[in-house]
Amino acid sequence: MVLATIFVSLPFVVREVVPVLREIGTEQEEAAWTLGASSLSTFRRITLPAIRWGVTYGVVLTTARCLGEFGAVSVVSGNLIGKTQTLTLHVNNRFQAFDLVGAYTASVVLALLALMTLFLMNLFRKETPRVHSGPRRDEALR
Amino acid sequence: MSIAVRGVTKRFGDFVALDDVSVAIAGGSLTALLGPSGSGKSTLLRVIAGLEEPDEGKVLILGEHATGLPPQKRGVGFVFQHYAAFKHLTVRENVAFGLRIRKRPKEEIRGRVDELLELVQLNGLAERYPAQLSGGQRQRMALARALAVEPKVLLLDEPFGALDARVRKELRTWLRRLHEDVHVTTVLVTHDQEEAMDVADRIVLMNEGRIEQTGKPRDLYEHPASEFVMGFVGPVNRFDNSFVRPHDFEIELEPDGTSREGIVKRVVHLGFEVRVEVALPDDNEIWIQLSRERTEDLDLEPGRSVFIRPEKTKVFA
Repeated sequence: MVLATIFVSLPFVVREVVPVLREIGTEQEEAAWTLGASSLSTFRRITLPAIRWGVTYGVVLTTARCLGEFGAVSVVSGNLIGKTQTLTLHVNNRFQAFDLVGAYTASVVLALLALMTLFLMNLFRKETPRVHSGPRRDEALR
Repeated sequence: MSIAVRGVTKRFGDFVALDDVSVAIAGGSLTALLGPSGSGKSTLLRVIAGLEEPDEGKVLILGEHATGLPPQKRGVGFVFQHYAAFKHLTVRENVAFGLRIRKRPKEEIRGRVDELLELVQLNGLAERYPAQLSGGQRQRMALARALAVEPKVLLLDEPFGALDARVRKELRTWLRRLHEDVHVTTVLVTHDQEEAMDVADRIVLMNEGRIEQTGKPRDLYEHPASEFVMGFVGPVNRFDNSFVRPHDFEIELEPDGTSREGIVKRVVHLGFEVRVEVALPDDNEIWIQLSRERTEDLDLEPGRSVFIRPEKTKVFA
């Protein structure tokens, strides 16, 4: 089940990270090399911080996707309660058992989780303004 | 010799970027690698830095073999056209990067960075991020960052290419002064002949992966080794089988036996100098550079018949 989720969600992370990598190019890494940084320390100090926002965004997207994943998981997971049953499967399960109240409750939990992800994402954006910020406003006006 | 390149060839697929190039760069000099785009000048610089491996040939830095050494171990400082600023680090952290990698004590790093920021006139901006700097400031930061690790040679890849004309001129003068202070062997790549002549004390002129001519800026201008060199370092007219600079023409209103008749087509006033375009009977059109006074004396205007005589000509086999 975990494998299935990774399989469907990995492309989302890649799709977020690759354009960022392409945009920053290799110059910063080359600069780090000429300054004496090894490949490993270049990756840790330069590449990773530069793509941090892309990775975070990818992870958030993926989390959202994983929460809502139904098709792939329902096929491969055994739907064992407390083991391999995901929330979406639970909703389906309750609904088919004519337990509408149970289904709606689980749906609300699911919706709340989604909202929380969104909230977290906004929080991230506020806490790491320096990566994406342009010149400060007073700067730009000059 | 501070840098020696011997018989270096570099291919990218079928494209030969460098074709058996050998060049020697004197210690403490400021050398320009000049050439049109695709001439191999940037590739040569990257080969010296170790950012590209040559297919054949050797690179020596201060007499030591550098071929095969990674860029980390060559002791070179490299400045990129688009600054390659570490965007997530402040100016101070950017400049300190190389020293931090070398695990120098904190006190020493702080002192050295302050010194460098002073040198590149960025003191006061130490806590800003690169996004808050102008292009010229970013490039000065990149220079301080490269100088921080005390490189044996400083390599600049079109350092002013992304800046506007006014800032470019300022930085040129500034670089010249900096080089007089710091005196580290510097190699600068540029496609702008005026920039090369202005900044460098030696020029290596490249074309199609080969070196056309090496020499002082003035030598290249006055004694070009080929038609390509003559045309690249300054404007040129073709006159019969020879080449003449636009300022090397004498222009008269009366024939004197050796001069050739032509018709003035256009007179363009460019401030102090005047550009006169003359059509010769053999359908060849040339342009001549004159002072404003001379043009007024001759009272030149389109349609007028004039007699021209080249003063200095150059013939290439």
